[in-house]
Amino acid sequence: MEDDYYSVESILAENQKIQCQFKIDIPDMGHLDGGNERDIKALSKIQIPMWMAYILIYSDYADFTIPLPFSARVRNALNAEARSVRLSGLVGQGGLWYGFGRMIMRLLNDIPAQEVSDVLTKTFRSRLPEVIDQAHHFAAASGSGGGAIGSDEATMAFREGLDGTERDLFMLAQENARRTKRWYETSEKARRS
Amino acid sequence: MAAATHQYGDLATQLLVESRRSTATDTLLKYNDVLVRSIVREQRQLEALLQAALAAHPDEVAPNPLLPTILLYQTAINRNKRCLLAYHAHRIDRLKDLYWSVGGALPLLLSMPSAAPAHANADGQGNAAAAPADVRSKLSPHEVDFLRSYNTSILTLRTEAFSSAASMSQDDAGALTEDVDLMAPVVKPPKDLHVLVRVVRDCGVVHTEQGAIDFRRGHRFLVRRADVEHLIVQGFLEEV
Repeated sequence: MEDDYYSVESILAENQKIQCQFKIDIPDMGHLDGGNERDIKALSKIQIPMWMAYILIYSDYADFTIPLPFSARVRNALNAEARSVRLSGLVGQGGLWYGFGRMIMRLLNDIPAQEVSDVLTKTFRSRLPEVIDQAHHFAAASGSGGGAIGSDEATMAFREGLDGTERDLFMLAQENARRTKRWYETSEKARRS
Repeated sequence: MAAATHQYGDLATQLLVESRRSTATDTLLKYNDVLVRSIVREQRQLEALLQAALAAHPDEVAPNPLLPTILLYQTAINRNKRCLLAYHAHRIDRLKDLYWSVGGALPLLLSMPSAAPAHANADGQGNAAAAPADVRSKLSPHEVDFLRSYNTSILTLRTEAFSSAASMSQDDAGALTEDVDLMAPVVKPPKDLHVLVRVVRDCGVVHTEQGAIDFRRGHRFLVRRADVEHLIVQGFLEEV
C-alpha cells in the first residue's frame, strides 16, 4: 500500500478506527461518538477514524490505546504460530493488517514502535513461504481439473485468513505459476515440431 | 448539529468505495454527480461552522477555546478535499486508458451507441478494445471537455513533434507514411505487410491503395496492414 495523496487504497485504509481517550473537553463535537452529548468530555473514550486521530494525537488532545489487532493477546498468538492467526478476521474483510500496523507504528515512538515493527516483519516473514507455496499448488490443483491438494481444511482456513496485502501476493504468485506453466508447455511444443 | 447522524467523511468514503469497485471490476462507472454535490455541500457546511467558531472569539490574545474544534473542522475539510480529488484523478486515469484502447478515436468513444456492445458480444469474440459501452452517458460534462482537450493535445504533439510533414512541408501525401504513428498498437511487431482480417462490425466503404473495399460484417479480406491498422485497434476488424 503506497502513501500517495491520490491513492484510493491509502485513503480507505485511513478509515480504520482506533480508540482515543481525550485529555481535554472539545466543544460541539459530541456527535463523533454517535451519542447526543453536545461536547466531548475529557477522559471519555471514543472510536475515531485514523485520518481524524492524527491531528488529535499530534496536538496532544488525546491518547490512543493500541487497537485490538495488535494487542498482547494477538501478539502472543503470532509468536506461538503466525500461520494460524486469521489476519483478515482482525481488520475486517479486505482489510490491510500490515498497513494498519504501519500507521500505528508511526504514531508510536522508540521502543513500542520498534516492537510493532518487529511483530509486523516477523509475522510477514513466517507467513510468506506458506502464502507462495499455497498459491502455486492452488494454481496447479485448479489447472489440472481440481486435485485434492487444495481441499485440506487447514490450508483453506489459512487462505481465508490472508490480509489484503497477502491476498495480492497470493494472486501474483498464482498468476506467475500459471504463466510459467503456459510458457513451459508452449516452448516444449515448439521444440518438438 | 446538521451532521448528527453521520460522521464527517462518510459520504467521501462512499465515493472512494465506488472507485475501488471500478478498479476491481475494471469498468467505468457512471459519474456520481449526486454524491459529489452532497460532499461539496458538506464542505460548505463545515466552512460555515468553522467561520462561526472563529468569529465567536475574535482577536483575543488568549488562544481561542474552540481551537480543537476548529482543527477538527479543518481536518474534515482536508479529508473531503483529498477524497474528491482522488475520485476524479482515478476517473481521469481510466478515461485515458479508454482513450488509448480505442486508438485515440475520440468521436468513436463519445458516439458509441448503447446497442453496440451487445452487438459486439453477440459475435462472441470478446474483443477487449471494442468493449467501451455507451461511454458518453457515464461522463460528466467536464470529463467530456477533458477528453476533447486531451485529444487536441495529442494531435498537436503528433503533428508538431512526430510528423515528418512538419519538416518536409513540400511533400504532402508521400511524407505522411513515414510518420511515427502514436496510435499504433505496439504489442507485437507485424511480420507481414498484408494481413487477413475478419469484419466484426460494419464500417462502410473504406478507400485503400487497392481501391475501395466495402467492409461488411462476417466477410474476410486480405489487405495492406497500414490501410486498416486503425480499424483493427478500434475493434471493427479482427486479425485471423
